[in-house]
Amino acid sequence: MTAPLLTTDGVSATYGDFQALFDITLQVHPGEIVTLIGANGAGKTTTLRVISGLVRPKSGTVCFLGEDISKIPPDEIVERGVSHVPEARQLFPYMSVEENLALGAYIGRARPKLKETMDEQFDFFPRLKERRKQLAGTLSGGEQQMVAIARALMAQPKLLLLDEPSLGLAPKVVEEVFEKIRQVGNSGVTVLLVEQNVVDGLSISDRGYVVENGVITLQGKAKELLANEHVRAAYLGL
Amino acid sequence: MERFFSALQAILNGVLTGSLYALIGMGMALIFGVMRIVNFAHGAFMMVGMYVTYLLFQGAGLNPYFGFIGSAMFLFLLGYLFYRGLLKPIRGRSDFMQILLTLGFGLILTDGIQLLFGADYHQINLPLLGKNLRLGSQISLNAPWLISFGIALMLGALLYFFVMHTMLGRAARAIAQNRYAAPLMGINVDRVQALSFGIGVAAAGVAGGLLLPVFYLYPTVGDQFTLKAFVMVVLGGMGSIQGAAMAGLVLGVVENLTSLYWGNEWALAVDFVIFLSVLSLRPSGIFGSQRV
Ligand SMILES: Nc1ncnc2c1ncn2[C@@H]1O[C@H](COP(=O)(O)OP(=O)(O)OP(=O)(O)O)[C@@H](O)[C@H]1O
Ligand SMILES: [Mg+2]
Repeated sequence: MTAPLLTTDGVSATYGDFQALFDITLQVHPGEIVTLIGANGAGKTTTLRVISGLVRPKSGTVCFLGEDISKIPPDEIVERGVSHVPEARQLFPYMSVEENLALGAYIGRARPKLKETMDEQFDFFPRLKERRKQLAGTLSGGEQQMVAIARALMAQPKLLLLDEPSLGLAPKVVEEVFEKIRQVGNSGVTVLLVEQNVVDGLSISDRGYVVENGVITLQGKAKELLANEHVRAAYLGL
Repeated sequence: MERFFSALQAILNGVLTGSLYALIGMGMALIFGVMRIVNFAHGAFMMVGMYVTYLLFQGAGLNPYFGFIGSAMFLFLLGYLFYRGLLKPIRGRSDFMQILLTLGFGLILTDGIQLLFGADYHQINLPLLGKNLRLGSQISLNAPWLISFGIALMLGALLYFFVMHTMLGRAARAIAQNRYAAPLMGINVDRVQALSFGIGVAAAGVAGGLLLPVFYLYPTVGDQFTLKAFVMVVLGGMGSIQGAAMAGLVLGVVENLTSLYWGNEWALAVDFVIFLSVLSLRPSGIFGSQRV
């Protein structure tokens, strides 16, 4: 197998006295879509925040392209090729769709190509093109999620972190979002996805991890996880 | 007719004064928007700008209408270093700490200037000072005020353009609108905040330089401007720089009308009344939306 694009090795993380992650070890290989599943409060978001540098690990390392990035500030991690679409989209509400996308290309590497990448994103998300002048805060939930993804892709990342992109969206829109994520994966961007929508998440993924109370309890091929007794009982209610 | 012209004169004077207020207020609004702190040293920074312009005039014979550029550069540096050295280390602590720090730094600036240059009033003498532009027989506009107005207008527009249309300005607004998401765009939040602080304070420094020809200079001259700038930020919608600019113009006009009808001593009191009414009746401001 190829060398992993991302490795977290024995990562633990705390908020004050509260320990949210224990010894998280996971790998994401180039070209993969990997999904992290788990209940509310399991530590999925915290895992992504450690990778993108928003939370510093208490111990352990995060390696991206073979280099330890666990002590590097978040803005440099973006520069190196990791873009994070946070939970609840986190757009800039009083800016237009266009300006949100432009900010996605803030880093030095992406800025000179801003025009082309924005056109690419508008081709990829035609709905956003129609709404390019609209303030992001006034978009529908689905449109906002598209903006959040497009904004992250503006940085031309090698690894895309997606935190519950389907949260709060109507089933039809969820389908649309997952289809887009699949296409992003096909275009060569590696994806680490966090989802509570276990079936849809795993069905577009190559592999998955199950996080429970800050610990990885299960991992494997997406198909195997979908067939797993424990996963079926705990997350699919079967 | 007489009454009409005196009112018109007061309004025009108000617009001239207000343009400089606007510059001060825009600087404060930028800082407030990007950092969510009220810069209680804002007026003191402006005062330092006046002294820099004054020293350039006395020492090197540099006309204040060029000297304000030196003041802007000096204040940008001072603001940048203040943020890096003092404000940044306590970011994330309580708002109260940050208020104390800006308040305390303002006092240090004021007392430092007093120590260096004494508490005396200074005024500079430009041949331009007595000149007026007469419009008809009733209205006349003071030449130095007019020039200051023109420069303030230009720089205000420049600052607006910078904030709305450059990548750095966009990053500043991004931080104001969503502090959490900004670093995920690759924005170095500390760097942008330090630059914004420097730019906001430089705007006050420019206003100080432009006020020098028409104002007495003394160490505490900035105090009233901190209050005014705060009023503009609140009136303008808590961090909207165009809102603060509008509020500055309105404040200038209202003050001049107040002086005309009720006397000079009421001008500051009226500022306060406006401030308290807006804060209690319409806390989101009158001229702007909540954010930059
Ligand atoms: N800023 C914070 N301060 C203190 N505790 C936090 C903070 N953020 C998260 N936690 C705690 O850390 C644990 C893991 O949170 P995290 O957000 O990573 O979970 P999650 O798996 O993403 O959950 P969800 O599915 O609800 O988003 C939770 O118990 C949560 O209460
Ligand atoms: Mg979460």
